Amino acid sequence: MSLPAGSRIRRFVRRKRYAPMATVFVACLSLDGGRGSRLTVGSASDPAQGVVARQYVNAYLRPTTIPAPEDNPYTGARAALGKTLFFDPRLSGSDRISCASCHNPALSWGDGLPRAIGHDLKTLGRRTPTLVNLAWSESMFWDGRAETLEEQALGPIQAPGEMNLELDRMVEKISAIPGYRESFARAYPDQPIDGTTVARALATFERQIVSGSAPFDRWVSGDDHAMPGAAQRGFALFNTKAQCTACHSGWRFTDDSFHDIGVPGTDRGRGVILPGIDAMQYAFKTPTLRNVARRAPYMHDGSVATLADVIELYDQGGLAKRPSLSADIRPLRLTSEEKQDLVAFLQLLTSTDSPVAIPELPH
Amino acid sequence: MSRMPLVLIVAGLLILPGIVRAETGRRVGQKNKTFSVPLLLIKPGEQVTFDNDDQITHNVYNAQKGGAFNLKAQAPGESSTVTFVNEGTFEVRCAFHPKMKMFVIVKR
Repeated sequence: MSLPAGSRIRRFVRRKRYAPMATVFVACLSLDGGRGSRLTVGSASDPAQGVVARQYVNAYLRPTTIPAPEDNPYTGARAALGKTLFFDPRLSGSDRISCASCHNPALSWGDGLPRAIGHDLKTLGRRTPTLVNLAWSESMFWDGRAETLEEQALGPIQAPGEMNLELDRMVEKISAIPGYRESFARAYPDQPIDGTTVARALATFERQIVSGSAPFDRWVSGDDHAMPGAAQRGFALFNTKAQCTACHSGWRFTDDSFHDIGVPGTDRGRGVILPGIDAMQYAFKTPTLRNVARRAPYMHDGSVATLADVIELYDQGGLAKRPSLSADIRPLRLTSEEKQDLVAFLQLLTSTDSPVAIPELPH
Repeated sequence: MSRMPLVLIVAGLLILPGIVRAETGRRVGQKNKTFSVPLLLIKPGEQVTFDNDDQITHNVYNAQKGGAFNLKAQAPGESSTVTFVNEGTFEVRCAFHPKMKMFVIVKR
């Protein structure tokens, strides 16, 4: 039987072929019984919670390498070019908005606003999502309308409400700058300056945006003092009663899934992309929780002010009880102490990352 | 690698036990946010049953012309069956979990 060829199935099969190797790698890490056996949750007088920690902690081990697609492997020249483009406001129609205007590294690669500000200072419909750890994601934007960083990169540049720069004009502007011509020649020899190479350079840079080690990671590595008791209890709740790991799973604390979690509003989110699927109405992508304490306000529309308010929303099983509300969103009946413990845990997902140097732009 | 004939890749998958089980059952499980097989080879008119073996809700669908279907929200433990009438290569996904993907190839 011959198999119809196509880039999507080709990429998919290729990824699957490497999966067993990754599994072996993770299994080797998991065999470090000395580290795992010293991990405890809560007080020494509560061994049951210690069992919970040992059961779940291996699901949070960080990867050691950053993945990249085969048609756009990492090189230093590509990352450097992508960083320059990322901070360059000439990638907007007004020459005033860069990718970094909204994805500000000083604000955990967001903007700290309830909803983003776009072209002509107009407020957009959704909050700026962070860029941390997207190298491991397979859906971009709050509604997942792009599957790769390369697919995503040109969307905001061209969107009239965001950076408002047509693709042809973007290529024209970049090509007219000698410094860029040299950078592109180094990064993508024998390839033109066009939408493809701009997107690939931006994606290469964005893949390097990885949150650093947080107190939680140090605790996972065996430092019992890295997380106080309240946060350890919060971690246990996170994996059990609060059911957070149904979606916020793995070391990034997200599975990139889409759910209507009961945030009131009229934005149909993923439902616009998949209009025939009831469960996707009012559904949005599950965001990472890495550095979440630095990214208030929360949700796709910035309508929830604090982490305590987020926990409250989940505890009530969502605020908007629509037919599309996820079946996994149910009242949790958390005590006030449990809510505080969850917030204490989430705060310790914050890493102390080195400041990002702003690049000098080419002329 | 990028120029390796796809048929060789599929042939490699076919000889790995547990990867493709097109020969029996026509059942596909969903466990740990993963389909139990990445690829299923069937003939037109055959049925495939999707079992939710997970602890969370799934929503299996395909949005392509000639093979579109939507099994709707599927609670843990539930099963749903779809008949693939037309020939083609269909990407089956979970609406909730974008990393859940598999292909059903329907060919006489």
